[in-house]
Amino acid sequence: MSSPLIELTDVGVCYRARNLFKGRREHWALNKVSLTLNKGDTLGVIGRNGTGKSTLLKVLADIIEPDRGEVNRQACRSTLLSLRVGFLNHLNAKENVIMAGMLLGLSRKDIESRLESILDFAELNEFVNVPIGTYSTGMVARLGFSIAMQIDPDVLLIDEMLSVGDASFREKSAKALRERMQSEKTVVLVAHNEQVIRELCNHVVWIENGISKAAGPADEVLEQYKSYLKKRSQGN
Amino acid sequence: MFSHYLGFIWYRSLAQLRSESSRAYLGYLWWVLEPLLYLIVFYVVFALVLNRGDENYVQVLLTGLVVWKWLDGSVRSSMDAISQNAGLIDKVYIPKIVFPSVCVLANGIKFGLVLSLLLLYSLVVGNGASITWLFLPVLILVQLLAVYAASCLVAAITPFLPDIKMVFDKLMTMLFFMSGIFYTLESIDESIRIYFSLNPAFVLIECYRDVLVHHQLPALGGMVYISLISIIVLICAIVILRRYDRIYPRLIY
Repeated sequence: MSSPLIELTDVGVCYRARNLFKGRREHWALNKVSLTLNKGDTLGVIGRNGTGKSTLLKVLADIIEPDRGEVNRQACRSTLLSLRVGFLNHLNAKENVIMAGMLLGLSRKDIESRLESILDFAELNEFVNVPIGTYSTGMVARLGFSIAMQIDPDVLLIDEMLSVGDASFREKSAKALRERMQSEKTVVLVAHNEQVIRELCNHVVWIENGISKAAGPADEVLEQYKSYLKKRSQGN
Repeated sequence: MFSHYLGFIWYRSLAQLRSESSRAYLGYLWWVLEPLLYLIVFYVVFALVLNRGDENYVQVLLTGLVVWKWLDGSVRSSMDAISQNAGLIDKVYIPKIVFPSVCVLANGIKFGLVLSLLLLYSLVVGNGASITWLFLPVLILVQLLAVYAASCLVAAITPFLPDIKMVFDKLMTMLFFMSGIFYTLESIDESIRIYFSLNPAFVLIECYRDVLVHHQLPALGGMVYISLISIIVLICAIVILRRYDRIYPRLIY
């Protein structure tokens, strides 16, 4: 097998806050996480709320640098799929699309040529000249999703199954996302829904309190996670 | 990659200016009205109320104010530049130096506009144009360097120590009074002039006056002095920004 795209070894990330009167507070969002991401993998990340899954994605996206541990990454572009990248409320859809597209690494020409298909997909053609501050949350999310679908990174990082907009758009976006994930892409997916993970991921990492408890084939890790949750709820 | 971010800085600066002006009923007119009001306030106080009747005083005053505004505007907005984009740097990697760059460019565009008005004023009401005006591009470059250095430095430091914003804020107010905006070197007691001529902002404003008002060559030594200090500060700022490029998103939440 070729060497992994990204490899984390015992990675820890600490958030610190200092205040003269409240003292120093430390919070290790990630404690000791190890994982390996190979080309073509669809890696699922499971774990309860607040165990550091989002922080982990930020490390994988090369947005933040950990306090300890090692990150080995091959020259690859990994991008976090997000619905709102630096939108300015007083600008219209077109201007925001161009800006967000540039932030995600597309050239201005590129994004301008795709503008129409982005607005088509978001179903926002009529509102192209309206400041997006007047959009509903769903409309903004639709726009963000359509922009995000334009980028083609080596590693795609997804936080939660993105269900966006009304029922019909939700279906459309879920379908587009699935297509992306089932093609040869390398994907990391954070989700609570076990069904989704089982369906889409071949590997799974289970994170508990910032520690990677288990990693391996999806079925095995999901079984372990399930029996752990069961024990927990019985224990209570 | 470098040119990609340069393109982004340009687009973002214009977008920010458009965004600002679209908030107001008078829109783009404010680009001219706001500095005009700013100049009028100082004109009333210093030229009408406190005027000592110096020759060309109005032009001297306006030059000082116009030059000061670029520095002041950029530094003040750069203090918040990174934290105001918290929602952005949290989702996508972007070199943090982009944010002070946007502040400097957006304020620079406004400065260009106001400077043209000042030139127009000098032509029509003041003491006219001169061949020395050809030095303006050099002065603008030196100022760009200085403004950029100061802006990057405050942008790099404030996320680590939000409290320091108050200090920077007061320092800028102090610098406003110490930079000879409404007075000139000649009006200062000779024994302390040397301290004033160590202040890069003071030196820069005097250089602009040499060229625009007195129709002389600007002090070459002064310009070299400003450039040297700016380069040193800029290098320090870039080192900090690069070292902590992937730490900043963790400081702001």
